[in-house]
Amino acid sequence: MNMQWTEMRFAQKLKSLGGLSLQLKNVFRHIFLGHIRYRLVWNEMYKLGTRSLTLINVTALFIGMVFAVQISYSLSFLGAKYYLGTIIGISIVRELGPVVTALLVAGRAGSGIAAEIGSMRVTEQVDALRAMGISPSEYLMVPRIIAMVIMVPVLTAYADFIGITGGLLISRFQMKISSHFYLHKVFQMLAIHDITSGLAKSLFFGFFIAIIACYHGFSVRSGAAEVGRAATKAVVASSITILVADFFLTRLFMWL
Amino acid sequence: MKETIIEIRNLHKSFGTNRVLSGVDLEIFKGETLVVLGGSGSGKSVLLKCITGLMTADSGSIRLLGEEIVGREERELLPIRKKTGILFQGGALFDSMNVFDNIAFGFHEYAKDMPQDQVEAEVMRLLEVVKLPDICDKMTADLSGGMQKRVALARAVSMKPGIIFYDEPTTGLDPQTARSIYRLMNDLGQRLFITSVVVSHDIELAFTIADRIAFLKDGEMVFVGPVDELRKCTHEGVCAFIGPFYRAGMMGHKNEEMKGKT
Repeated sequence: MNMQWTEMRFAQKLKSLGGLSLQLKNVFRHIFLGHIRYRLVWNEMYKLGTRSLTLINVTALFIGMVFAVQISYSLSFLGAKYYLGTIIGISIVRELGPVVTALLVAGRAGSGIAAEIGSMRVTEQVDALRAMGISPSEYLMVPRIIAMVIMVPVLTAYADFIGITGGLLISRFQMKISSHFYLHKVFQMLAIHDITSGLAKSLFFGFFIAIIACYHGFSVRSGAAEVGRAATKAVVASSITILVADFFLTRLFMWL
Repeated sequence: MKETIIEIRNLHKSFGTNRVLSGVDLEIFKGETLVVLGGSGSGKSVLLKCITGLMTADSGSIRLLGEEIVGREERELLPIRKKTGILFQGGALFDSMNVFDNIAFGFHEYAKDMPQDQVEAEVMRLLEVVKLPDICDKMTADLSGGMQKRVALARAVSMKPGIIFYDEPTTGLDPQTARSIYRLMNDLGQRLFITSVVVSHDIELAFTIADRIAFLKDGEMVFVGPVDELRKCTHEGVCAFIGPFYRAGMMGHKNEEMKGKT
Protein backbone atom coordinates (compact mmCIF):
# COMPACT_ATOMS: atom_id res chain seq x y z
CA MET A 1 0.00 0.00 0.00
CA ASN A 2 2.78 2.40 1.04
CA MET A 3 4.82 1.39 -1.97
CA GLN A 4 1.89 2.06 -4.27
CA TRP A 5 1.33 5.47 -2.70
CA THR A 6 5.02 6.33 -3.08
CA GLU A 7 5.01 5.22 -6.70
CA MET A 8 1.89 7.26 -7.37
CA ARG A 9 3.42 10.36 -5.76
CA PHE A 10 6.62 9.83 -7.74
CA ALA A 11 4.64 9.50 -10.98
CA GLN A 12 2.71 12.70 -10.13
CA LYS A 13 5.96 14.58 -9.48
CA LEU A 14 7.40 13.36 -12.77
CA LYS A 15 4.24 14.45 -14.55
CA SER A 16 4.47 17.88 -12.91
CA LEU A 17 8.10 18.23 -13.99
CA GLY A 18 7.12 17.21 -17.52
CA GLY A 19 4.32 19.80 -17.58
CA LEU A 20 6.63 22.48 -16.22
CA SER A 21 9.29 21.68 -18.85
CA LEU A 22 6.72 21.93 -21.65
CA GLN A 23 5.54 25.29 -20.39
CA LEU A 24 9.13 26.50 -20.11
CA LYS A 25 9.77 25.39 -23.68
CA ASN A 26 6.72 27.35 -24.87
CA VAL A 27 7.71 30.45 -22.93
CA PHE A 28 11.27 30.48 -24.28
CA ARG A 29 10.00 29.86 -27.81
CA HIS A 30 7.74 32.92 -27.58
CA ILE A 31 10.50 35.06 -26.07
CA PHE A 32 13.05 34.05 -28.72
CA LEU A 33 10.52 34.64 -31.50
CA GLY A 34 9.88 38.10 -30.07
CA HIS A 35 6.24 37.41 -29.19
CA ILE A 36 6.32 39.88 -26.30
CA ARG A 37 3.35 42.10 -25.48
CA TYR A 38 5.08 45.14 -24.02
CA ARG A 39 1.85 46.78 -22.85
CA LEU A 40 1.01 43.70 -20.78
CA VAL A 41 4.58 43.51 -19.45
CA TRP A 42 4.30 47.13 -18.35
CA ASN A 43 0.90 46.50 -16.68
CA GLU A 44 2.29 43.51 -14.81
CA MET A 45 5.35 45.48 -13.69
CA TYR A 46 3.13 48.24 -12.41
CA LYS A 47 0.87 45.79 -10.54
CA LEU A 48 3.84 43.95 -9.07
CA GLY A 49 5.52 47.14 -7.90
CA THR A 50 2.47 48.83 -6.42
CA ARG A 51 1.16 45.68 -4.77
CA SER A 52 4.44 44.80 -3.10
CA LEU A 53 5.74 48.23 -2.12
CA THR A 54 4.00 48.69 1.24
CA LEU A 55 4.83 45.15 2.30
CA ILE A 56 8.48 45.62 1.38
CA ASN A 57 8.68 49.01 3.08
CA VAL A 58 7.46 47.65 6.41
CA THR A 59 9.22 44.29 6.27
CA ALA A 60 12.62 45.55 5.08
CA LEU A 61 12.63 48.44 7.58
CA PHE A 62 11.90 46.17 10.53
CA ILE A 63 14.26 43.43 9.38
CA GLY A 64 17.04 46.03 9.17
CA MET A 65 16.14 47.35 12.62
CA VAL A 66 15.81 43.94 14.30
CA PHE A 67 19.00 42.72 12.70
CA ALA A 68 20.82 45.82 13.92
CA VAL A 69 19.45 45.38 17.47
CA GLN A 70 20.53 41.72 17.59
CA ILE A 71 23.99 42.36 16.14
CA SER A 72 24.67 45.47 18.18
CA TYR A 73 24.51 43.54 21.50
CA SER A 74 27.11 41.00 20.34
CA LEU A 75 29.30 43.69 18.80
CA SER A 76 29.16 45.84 21.93
CA PHE A 77 30.15 42.80 24.00
CA LEU A 78 33.18 42.31 21.73
CA GLY A 79 33.93 46.04 21.65
CA ALA A 80 33.35 46.17 17.89
CA LYS A 81 30.11 48.15 17.66
CA TYR A 82 31.56 50.44 14.97
CA TYR A 83 31.43 47.52 12.56
CA LEU A 84 27.63 47.49 12.71
CA GLY A 85 27.31 49.24 9.33
CA THR A 86 29.70 46.80 7.67
CA ILE A 87 27.84 43.73 8.87
CA ILE A 88 24.40 45.16 8.13
CA GLY A 89 25.43 46.28 4.64
CA ILE A 90 26.97 43.00 3.57
CA SER A 91 24.26 40.79 5.11
CA ILE A 92 21.39 42.75 3.63
CA VAL A 93 22.83 43.29 0.17
CA ARG A 94 24.21 39.78 -0.28
CA GLU A 95 21.59 37.68 1.45
CA LEU A 96 18.71 39.15 3.39
CA GLY A 97 17.55 41.63 0.75
CA PRO A 98 17.26 39.19 -2.16
CA VAL A 99 15.86 36.28 -0.15
CA VAL A 100 13.34 38.21 1.95
CA THR A 101 12.14 40.24 -1.05
CA ALA A 102 11.72 37.08 -3.11
CA LEU A 103 9.80 35.35 -0.30
CA LEU A 104 7.54 38.39 0.10
CA VAL A 105 6.89 38.65 -3.63
CA ALA A 106 6.20 34.90 -3.79
CA GLY A 107 3.62 35.28 -1.01
CA ARG A 108 2.05 38.45 -2.36
CA ALA A 109 2.30 38.33 -6.15
CA GLY A 110 3.06 34.64 -6.78
CA SER A 111 -0.12 33.52 -5.05
CA GLY A 112 -2.03 36.23 -6.91
CA ILE A 113 -0.76 35.03 -10.29
CA ALA A 114 -1.63 31.39 -9.52
CA ALA A 115 -5.11 32.36 -8.31
CA GLU A 116 -5.76 34.69 -11.26
CA ILE A 117 -4.74 32.15 -13.91
CA GLY A 118 -6.50 29.37 -11.97
CA SER A 119 -9.76 31.28 -11.90
CA MET A 120 -9.37 32.08 -15.61
CA ARG A 121 -9.06 28.33 -16.22
CA VAL A 122 -12.18 27.59 -14.20
CA THR A 123 -14.25 30.25 -15.96
CA GLU A 124 -13.01 29.12 -19.41
CA GLN A 125 -11.26 32.45 -20.07
CA VAL A 126 -8.08 30.56 -20.95
CA ASP A 127 -10.06 28.45 -23.44
CA ALA A 128 -11.59 31.66 -24.79
CA LEU A 129 -8.07 32.92 -25.56
CA ARG A 130 -7.24 29.65 -27.31
CA ALA A 131 -10.52 29.82 -29.18
CA MET A 132 -9.52 33.23 -30.53
CA GLY A 133 -6.23 31.80 -31.75
CA ILE A 134 -4.12 33.32 -28.98
CA SER A 135 -1.56 31.24 -27.14
CA PRO A 136 -2.21 31.45 -23.37
CA SER A 137 1.48 31.03 -22.64
CA GLU A 138 2.24 34.00 -24.86
CA TYR A 139 -0.57 36.15 -23.48
CA LEU A 140 -0.53 35.17 -19.81
CA MET A 141 2.86 33.68 -18.97
CA VAL A 142 5.44 35.62 -20.97
CA PRO A 143 4.43 39.10 -19.69
CA ARG A 144 4.27 37.89 -16.09
CA ILE A 145 7.65 36.17 -16.26
CA ILE A 146 9.38 39.15 -17.87
CA ALA A 147 7.76 41.56 -15.41
CA MET A 148 8.82 39.41 -12.47
CA VAL A 149 12.41 39.03 -13.75
CA ILE A 150 12.66 42.82 -14.04
CA MET A 151 10.76 43.82 -10.92
CA VAL A 152 12.18 41.44 -8.30
CA PRO A 153 15.72 42.88 -8.68
CA VAL A 154 14.26 46.42 -8.62
CA LEU A 155 12.30 45.64 -5.45
CA THR A 156 15.38 43.94 -3.98
CA ALA A 157 17.48 47.06 -4.53
CA TYR A 158 14.74 49.09 -2.88
CA ALA A 159 14.51 46.62 0.03
CA ASP A 160 18.30 46.81 0.46
CA PHE A 161 18.05 50.57 0.76
CA ILE A 162 15.17 50.43 3.26
CA GLY A 163 16.85 47.66 5.29
CA ILE A 164 20.09 49.63 5.54
CA THR A 165 18.03 52.66 6.57
CA GLY A 166 16.44 50.55 9.35
CA GLY A 167 19.92 49.66 10.59
CA LEU A 168 20.86 53.32 10.43
CA LEU A 169 17.98 54.26 12.75
CA ILE A 170 19.17 51.78 15.41
CA SER A 171 22.77 52.78 14.89
CA ARG A 172 21.94 56.49 15.26
CA PHE A 173 19.41 56.43 18.09
CA GLN A 174 20.37 53.35 20.12
CA MET A 175 24.08 52.85 19.50
CA LYS A 176 24.81 56.60 19.22
CA ILE A 177 26.93 56.05 16.11
CA SER A 178 26.78 58.94 13.66
CA SER A 179 24.87 58.39 10.42
CA HIS A 180 27.85 59.44 8.38
CA PHE A 181 30.12 56.90 10.08
CA TYR A 182 27.50 54.13 9.75
CA LEU A 183 27.07 54.76 6.01
CA HIS A 184 30.83 55.04 5.55
CA LYS A 185 31.16 51.56 7.11
CA VAL A 186 28.29 50.20 4.99
CA PHE A 187 29.97 51.21 1.75
CA GLN A 188 33.57 50.64 2.85
CA MET A 189 33.40 46.87 2.67
CA LEU A 190 30.65 46.55 0.12
CA ALA A 191 32.09 45.56 -3.27
CA ILE A 192 30.37 45.81 -6.64
CA HIS A 193 30.39 42.02 -6.76
CA ASP A 194 28.26 41.90 -3.57
CA ILE A 195 25.64 44.17 -5.14
CA THR A 196 25.59 42.43 -8.52
CA SER A 197 25.49 38.93 -7.05
CA GLY A 198 22.56 39.91 -4.80
CA LEU A 199 20.65 41.41 -7.71
CA ALA A 200 21.52 38.53 -10.04
CA LYS A 201 20.19 36.07 -7.47
CA SER A 202 16.96 38.02 -7.25
CA LEU A 203 16.61 37.87 -11.02
CA PHE A 204 16.66 34.06 -10.83
CA PHE A 205 14.23 34.15 -7.89
CA GLY A 206 11.85 36.28 -9.94
CA PHE A 207 11.95 33.77 -12.76
CA PHE A 208 11.29 30.85 -10.40
CA ILE A 209 8.38 32.62 -8.68
CA ALA A 210 6.68 33.48 -11.97
CA ILE A 211 7.10 30.11 -13.66
CA ILE A 212 5.97 28.18 -10.57
CA ALA A 213 2.95 30.45 -10.05
CA CYS A 214 1.92 30.21 -13.70
CA TYR A 215 2.39 26.45 -13.70
CA HIS A 216 0.16 25.98 -10.64
CA GLY A 217 -2.41 28.38 -12.07
CA PHE A 218 -2.60 26.41 -15.32
CA SER A 219 -2.83 23.13 -13.36
CA VAL A 220 -6.27 24.10 -12.01
CA ARG A 221 -8.99 22.00 -13.61
CA SER A 222 -12.20 23.01 -11.84
CA GLY A 223 -13.65 24.59 -8.74
CA ALA A 224 -12.85 27.43 -6.37
CA ALA A 225 -11.21 25.08 -3.86
CA GLU A 226 -8.64 24.06 -6.47
CA VAL A 227 -7.87 27.74 -7.15
CA GLY A 228 -7.11 28.21 -3.45
CA ARG A 229 -4.95 25.10 -3.37
CA ALA A 230 -3.04 26.26 -6.45
CA ALA A 231 -2.27 29.60 -4.79
CA THR A 232 -1.03 27.85 -1.63
CA LYS A 233 1.04 25.32 -3.60
CA ALA A 234 2.59 28.14 -5.63
CA VAL A 235 3.73 29.95 -2.48
CA VAL A 236 5.08 26.79 -0.81
CA ALA A 237 6.90 25.58 -3.93
CA SER A 238 8.33 29.04 -4.69
CA SER A 239 9.54 29.53 -1.10
CA ILE A 240 11.32 26.17 -1.04
CA THR A 241 12.80 26.77 -4.49
CA ILE A 242 14.05 30.21 -3.45
CA LEU A 243 15.79 28.87 -0.34
CA VAL A 244 17.34 25.88 -2.11
CA ALA A 245 18.35 27.93 -5.16
CA ASP A 246 19.84 30.58 -2.87
CA PHE A 247 22.42 28.08 -1.59
CA PHE A 248 23.49 26.98 -5.06
CA LEU A 249 23.45 30.49 -6.51
CA THR A 250 25.52 31.78 -3.60
CA ARG A 251 28.09 29.05 -4.24
CA LEU A 252 28.02 29.83 -7.95
CA PHE A 253 28.55 33.56 -7.50
CA MET A 254 31.33 32.99 -4.95
CA TRP A 255 33.02 30.71 -7.44
CA LEU A 256 32.63 33.28 -10.21
CA MET B 1 -24.77 19.55 -53.40
CA LYS B 2 -24.17 20.65 -49.82
CA GLU B 3 -20.65 21.65 -48.90
CA THR B 4 -19.27 19.78 -45.87
CA ILE B 5 -17.57 22.17 -43.49
CA ILE B 6 -16.88 19.77 -40.60
CA GLU B 7 -16.36 16.04 -41.03
CA ILE B 8 -15.96 13.73 -38.05
CA ARG B 9 -15.06 10.08 -38.50
CA ASN B 10 -14.84 7.34 -35.86
CA LEU B 11 -13.99 9.73 -33.03
CA HIS B 12 -12.97 8.26 -29.66
CA LYS B 13 -12.24 10.02 -26.39
CA SER B 14 -11.77 8.55 -22.91
CA PHE B 15 -10.76 9.91 -19.52
CA GLY B 16 -8.92 7.03 -17.86
CA THR B 17 -11.32 4.10 -17.99
CA ASN B 18 -14.33 6.34 -18.64
CA ARG B 19 -15.23 6.23 -22.36
CA VAL B 20 -16.88 9.51 -23.27
CA LEU B 21 -17.04 9.32 -27.07
CA SER B 22 -17.19 5.98 -28.90
CA GLY B 23 -16.84 6.04 -32.65
CA VAL B 24 -18.73 9.26 -33.38
CA ASP B 25 -19.40 10.02 -37.07
CA LEU B 26 -20.91 13.34 -38.11
CA GLU B 27 -20.97 15.71 -41.07
CA ILE B 28 -21.89 19.37 -40.76
CA PHE B 29 -22.80 21.39 -43.85
CA LYS B 30 -22.08 25.02 -44.66
CA GLY B 31 -24.74 27.48 -43.53
CA GLU B 32 -26.81 25.02 -41.51
CA THR B 33 -27.68 25.06 -37.82
CA LEU B 34 -26.96 21.70 -36.25
CA VAL B 35 -27.94 21.08 -32.65
CA VAL B 36 -26.22 18.26 -30.76
CA LEU B 37 -28.74 17.09 -28.20
CA GLY B 38 -28.14 14.73 -25.31
CA GLY B 39 -28.48 14.30 -21.60
CA SER B 40 -25.95 15.37 -18.99
CA GLY B 41 -22.72 13.39 -19.30
CA SER B 42 -23.52 12.14 -22.79
CA GLY B 43 -20.31 13.69 -24.18
CA LYS B 44 -21.75 16.76 -25.95
CA SER B 45 -19.34 19.32 -24.55
CA VAL B 46 -16.39 16.96 -25.00
CA LEU B 47 -17.40 16.54 -28.65
CA LEU B 48 -17.50 20.33 -29.09
CA LYS B 49 -14.10 20.73 -27.45
CA CYS B 50 -12.63 18.00 -29.64
CA ILE B 51 -14.02 19.65 -32.80
CA THR B 52 -12.48 22.98 -31.84
CA GLY B 53 -9.21 21.35 -30.79
CA LEU B 54 -9.56 22.61 -27.21
CA MET B 55 -9.39 18.96 -26.18
CA THR B 56 -7.31 16.26 -27.85
CA ALA B 57 -9.20 13.26 -29.23
CA ASP B 58 -7.73 9.80 -28.61
CA SER B 59 -8.32 8.58 -32.17
CA GLY B 60 -10.40 9.20 -35.25
CA SER B 61 -10.49 12.11 -37.64
CA ILE B 62 -11.93 15.63 -37.52
CA ARG B 63 -11.67 17.84 -40.58
CA LEU B 64 -12.55 21.42 -39.72
CA LEU B 65 -12.69 23.82 -42.70
CA GLY B 66 -10.70 21.26 -44.68
CA GLU B 67 -7.94 20.88 -42.09
CA GLU B 68 -7.31 17.79 -39.98
CA ILE B 69 -7.50 18.63 -36.26
CA VAL B 70 -6.63 15.33 -34.57
CA GLY B 71 -2.95 14.93 -33.82
CA ARG B 72 -2.09 18.56 -34.55
CA GLU B 73 -0.03 20.63 -32.11
CA GLU B 74 -1.63 23.53 -30.26
CA ARG B 75 0.34 26.14 -32.19
CA GLU B 76 -0.86 24.63 -35.50
CA LEU B 77 -4.46 24.81 -34.31
CA LEU B 78 -4.37 28.50 -33.34
CA PRO B 79 -4.66 29.84 -36.92
CA ILE B 80 -7.52 27.43 -37.69
CA ARG B 81 -9.44 28.55 -34.61
CA LYS B 82 -9.21 32.19 -35.73
CA LYS B 83 -11.75 31.28 -38.44
CA THR B 84 -14.28 30.09 -35.87
CA GLY B 85 -16.10 31.60 -32.91
CA ILE B 86 -17.12 29.92 -29.69
CA LEU B 87 -19.78 30.95 -27.23
CA PHE B 88 -18.83 29.29 -23.96
CA GLN B 89 -21.34 28.04 -21.43
CA GLY B 90 -20.54 30.75 -18.87
CA GLY B 91 -19.71 33.41 -21.47
CA ALA B 92 -15.98 33.31 -20.56
CA LEU B 93 -15.72 37.09 -20.79
CA PHE B 94 -12.40 38.49 -19.59
CA ASP B 95 -13.26 39.80 -16.15
CA SER B 96 -10.29 42.18 -16.04
CA MET B 97 -11.79 44.12 -18.97
CA ASN B 98 -14.99 46.06 -19.52
CA VAL B 99 -17.58 45.18 -22.16
CA PHE B 100 -16.01 47.40 -24.83
CA ASP B 101 -12.54 45.89 -24.41
CA ASN B 102 -13.95 42.36 -24.46
CA ILE B 103 -15.62 42.92 -27.82
CA ALA B 104 -12.75 44.98 -29.21
CA PHE B 105 -10.27 42.29 -28.16
CA GLY B 106 -10.25 40.58 -31.55
CA PHE B 107 -9.77 43.87 -33.41
CA HIS B 108 -6.86 44.82 -31.15
CA GLU B 109 -5.28 41.42 -31.79
CA TYR B 110 -5.87 40.92 -35.49
CA ALA B 111 -6.72 44.30 -36.94
CA LYS B 112 -4.03 46.43 -35.37
CA ASP B 113 -4.09 48.93 -38.24
CA MET B 114 -7.81 49.57 -37.81
CA PRO B 115 -8.36 53.17 -36.63
CA GLN B 116 -9.74 53.50 -33.10
CA ASP B 117 -12.93 55.29 -34.23
CA GLN B 118 -13.65 52.41 -36.62
CA VAL B 119 -13.12 49.90 -33.80
CA GLU B 120 -15.52 51.91 -31.65
CA ALA B 121 -18.11 52.00 -34.44
CA GLU B 122 -17.80 48.24 -34.98
CA VAL B 123 -18.17 47.49 -31.25
CA MET B 124 -21.24 49.73 -31.06
CA ARG B 125 -22.75 47.99 -34.10
CA LEU B 126 -22.19 44.56 -32.51
CA LEU B 127 -23.74 45.75 -29.25
CA GLU B 128 -26.77 46.95 -31.20
CA VAL B 129 -27.03 43.55 -32.90
CA VAL B 130 -27.15 41.84 -29.49
CA LYS B 131 -29.58 44.51 -28.25
CA LEU B 132 -27.32 45.93 -25.56
CA PRO B 133 -26.40 49.38 -26.87
CA ASP B 134 -25.52 51.23 -23.65
CA ILE B 135 -23.24 49.02 -21.63
CA CYS B 136 -19.79 49.71 -23.09
CA ASP B 137 -18.19 50.88 -19.87
CA LYS B 138 -19.66 48.23 -17.60
CA MET B 139 -17.43 45.56 -16.11
CA THR B 140 -18.48 42.02 -16.96
CA ALA B 141 -19.13 41.16 -13.31
CA ASP B 142 -21.90 43.80 -13.27
CA LEU B 143 -23.88 42.04 -16.03
CA SER B 144 -26.61 39.44 -15.63
CA GLY B 145 -26.15 35.92 -17.05
CA GLY B 146 -28.20 36.71 -20.15
CA MET B 147 -26.32 39.95 -20.80
CA GLN B 148 -22.99 38.16 -20.41
CA LYS B 149 -24.07 35.59 -23.00
CA ARG B 150 -25.06 38.36 -25.43
CA VAL B 151 -21.78 40.21 -24.98
CA ALA B 152 -19.91 36.92 -25.40
CA LEU B 153 -21.89 36.34 -28.59
CA ALA B 154 -20.93 39.79 -29.87
CA ARG B 155 -17.28 38.97 -29.12
CA ALA B 156 -17.57 35.57 -30.80
CA VAL B 157 -18.90 37.03 -34.06
CA SER B 158 -16.70 40.14 -34.03
CA MET B 159 -14.10 38.64 -36.35
CA LYS B 160 -16.78 37.35 -38.78
CA PRO B 161 -16.17 33.62 -38.29
CA GLY B 162 -17.41 31.05 -40.80
CA ILE B 163 -18.57 28.73 -38.02
CA ILE B 164 -19.83 29.49 -34.57
CA PHE B 165 -19.95 26.91 -31.80
CA TYR B 166 -22.41 27.35 -28.95
CA ASP B 167 -21.81 25.42 -25.74
CA GLU B 168 -25.11 25.23 -23.80
CA PRO B 169 -26.14 28.77 -24.79
CA THR B 170 -29.33 28.84 -22.72
CA THR B 171 -28.22 27.05 -19.56
CA GLY B 172 -29.05 29.03 -16.44
CA LEU B 173 -31.29 31.52 -18.24
CA ASP B 174 -34.99 32.10 -17.65
CA PRO B 175 -37.30 31.03 -20.54
CA GLN B 176 -37.83 34.58 -21.80
CA THR B 177 -34.11 35.39 -21.91
CA ALA B 178 -33.44 31.97 -23.42
CA ARG B 179 -35.91 32.73 -26.24
CA SER B 180 -34.21 36.06 -26.90
CA ILE B 181 -30.95 34.14 -27.27
CA TYR B 182 -32.65 31.73 -29.75
CA ARG B 183 -33.78 34.71 -31.80
CA LEU B 184 -30.32 36.20 -31.73
CA MET B 185 -28.73 32.93 -32.84
CA ASN B 186 -31.24 32.60 -35.66
CA ASP B 187 -30.70 36.17 -36.71
CA LEU B 188 -26.91 35.91 -36.74
CA GLY B 189 -27.01 32.62 -38.62
CA GLN B 190 -29.18 34.14 -41.32
CA ARG B 191 -27.69 37.61 -41.56
CA LEU B 192 -24.07 36.51 -41.65
CA PHE B 193 -24.67 33.07 -43.20
CA ILE B 194 -22.72 31.50 -40.34
CA THR B 195 -22.72 27.75 -39.82
CA SER B 196 -23.89 27.12 -36.25
CA VAL B 197 -23.08 24.08 -34.16
CA VAL B 198 -25.03 24.12 -30.92
CA VAL B 199 -24.49 21.75 -28.02
CA SER B 200 -27.43 21.71 -25.66
CA HIS B 201 -29.91 19.69 -23.66
CA ASP B 202 -32.58 22.34 -24.23
CA ILE B 203 -35.23 20.60 -26.38
CA GLU B 204 -37.15 23.80 -27.08
CA LEU B 205 -33.97 25.41 -28.40
CA ALA B 206 -33.24 22.39 -30.60
CA PHE B 207 -36.73 22.26 -32.09
CA THR B 208 -36.84 26.04 -32.55
CA ILE B 209 -33.58 26.77 -34.34
CA ALA B 210 -32.18 23.51 -35.71
CA ASP B 211 -32.02 22.57 -39.38
CA ARG B 212 -30.76 19.17 -38.25
CA ILE B 213 -30.39 17.50 -34.88
CA ALA B 214 -27.73 15.03 -33.78
CA PHE B 215 -28.49 12.98 -30.69
CA LEU B 216 -25.69 11.70 -28.45
CA LYS B 217 -26.37 8.92 -25.98
CA ASP B 218 -23.57 7.61 -23.77
CA GLY B 219 -20.93 8.82 -26.21
CA GLU B 220 -22.56 7.29 -29.30
CA MET B 221 -24.32 9.20 -32.05
CA VAL B 222 -27.69 7.44 -32.17
CA PHE B 223 -29.51 9.86 -34.49
CA VAL B 224 -28.63 12.53 -37.05
CA GLY B 225 -31.30 14.09 -39.21
CA PRO B 226 -33.95 16.78 -39.66
CA VAL B 227 -36.25 17.74 -36.80
CA ASP B 228 -39.29 15.94 -38.24
CA GLU B 229 -37.35 12.69 -38.50
CA LEU B 230 -36.36 12.99 -34.85
CA ARG B 231 -40.05 12.94 -33.92
CA LYS B 232 -40.38 9.60 -35.71
CA CYS B 233 -37.16 8.14 -34.28
CA THR B 234 -37.88 4.97 -32.32
CA HIS B 235 -34.61 4.80 -30.39
CA GLU B 236 -35.46 4.28 -26.73
CA GLY B 237 -33.02 6.94 -25.47
CA VAL B 238 -34.31 9.56 -27.93
CA CYS B 239 -37.97 8.85 -27.09
CA ALA B 240 -37.30 9.10 -23.35
CA PHE B 241 -35.35 12.34 -23.78
CA ILE B 242 -37.69 14.33 -26.00
CA GLY B 243 -40.92 13.15 -24.37
CA PRO B 244 -44.39 12.50 -25.83
CA PHE B 245 -45.41 16.14 -26.50
CA TYR B 246 -42.50 16.89 -28.78
CA ARG B 247 -42.86 13.47 -30.44
CA ALA B 248 -46.51 14.08 -31.15
CA GLY B 249 -45.68 17.48 -32.66
CA MET B 250 -47.74 19.30 -30.05
CA MET B 251 -44.68 21.33 -29.10
CA GLY B 252 -41.49 22.53 -30.74
CA HIS B 253 -42.36 23.58 -34.27
CA LYS B 254 -39.65 25.55 -35.96
CA ASN B 255 -40.88 29.10 -35.90
CA GLU B 256 -40.30 30.46 -39.39
CA GLU B 257 -41.57 33.88 -38.31
CA MET B 258 -38.78 34.12 -35.79
CA LYS B 259 -36.25 34.39 -38.55
CA GLY B 260 -37.77 37.57 -39.87
CA LYS B 261 -38.56 38.94 -36.45
CA THR B 262 -35.19 40.25 -35.30
